[in-house]
Amino acid sequence: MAGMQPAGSGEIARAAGLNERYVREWLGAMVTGGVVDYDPERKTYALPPEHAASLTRAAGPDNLARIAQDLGMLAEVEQQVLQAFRTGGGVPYSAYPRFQAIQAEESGEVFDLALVAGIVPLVPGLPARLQEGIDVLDVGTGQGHAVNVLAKAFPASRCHGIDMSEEGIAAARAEATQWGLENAEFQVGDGAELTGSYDLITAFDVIHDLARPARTLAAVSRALRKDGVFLMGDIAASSRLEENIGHPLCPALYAFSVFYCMSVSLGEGGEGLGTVWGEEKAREMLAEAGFGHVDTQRVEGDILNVYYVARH
Amino acid sequence: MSVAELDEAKQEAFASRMVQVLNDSCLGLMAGLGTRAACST
Repeated sequence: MAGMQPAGSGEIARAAGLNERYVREWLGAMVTGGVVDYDPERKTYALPPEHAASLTRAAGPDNLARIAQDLGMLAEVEQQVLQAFRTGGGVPYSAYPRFQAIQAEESGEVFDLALVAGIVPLVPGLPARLQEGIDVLDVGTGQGHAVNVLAKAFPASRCHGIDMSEEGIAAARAEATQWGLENAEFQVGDGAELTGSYDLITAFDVIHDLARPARTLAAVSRALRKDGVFLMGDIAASSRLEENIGHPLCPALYAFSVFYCMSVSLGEGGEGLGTVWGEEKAREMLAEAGFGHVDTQRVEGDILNVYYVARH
Repeated sequence: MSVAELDEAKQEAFASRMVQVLNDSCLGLMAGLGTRAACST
């Protein structure tokens, strides 16, 4: 509806290729909820541009409707989560067939906008080293978009991605081929069993989901060359519950934890760190993995993530 | 209306409200889960 003149439900449905009756009922919620404006005389609907700025794909990382998509996915596993409340255990990753695509869309917009211009410069000197050419590994790369963005921006660097998901790695390779990248490589594998050595290892919103986060961090530490950097993006929160009161997104983060992050880790017999494992716990685990120097950095405008710059 | 003509205050107020909607939706999901879990024991 963004960019459309005020239109009736039939016109909106035709523009979207959807059934008018369903669209009209959906519009009822949007109008009474104050999202869409309604003209009762003309029976037309309009999405104010100030609202579209937060609700459409054109909004990029600010698109809150994209995050809202997750709610439907989470609700699909409620019965399995309920069972885990009673008996322990968790929910298998296979219960979330839409997860990777949704996650790829969410993180992809962030990587397109901020990875090269905002996140990489958080590490002093890193843009220059990437320009010169270094070995990079992204752990838990999913569909590999971060790797491909880095490989495209820094053609002298050799960029690698590893993920347990064959489907994800296939998508990563397809994108690399489509982009004509010769310096991006992908491997199906476990981040806790790394081989090779690297100058830069990244993990974006991954570690807290893992069954064996401590083993993965130790593997990252071992695989990092002298003077190498581990750049870990994760949820910005405290490990102490009382310090998260008033956090703008914490109720949602705990819900995501129960309905996905913690439960998937527990389902694999893992630690179940949870989405809100927090900075204190992250620092403790990074130290245990052998990182003696850890700084935290934030990207302006990003209320969700903190970036750990960890070195031996 | 062009991008330059956006009412910034209105845009920010709506974005803040949508963040609250997300939080409240998640709270509702969790409250429902808690009720079901408690009722089934």
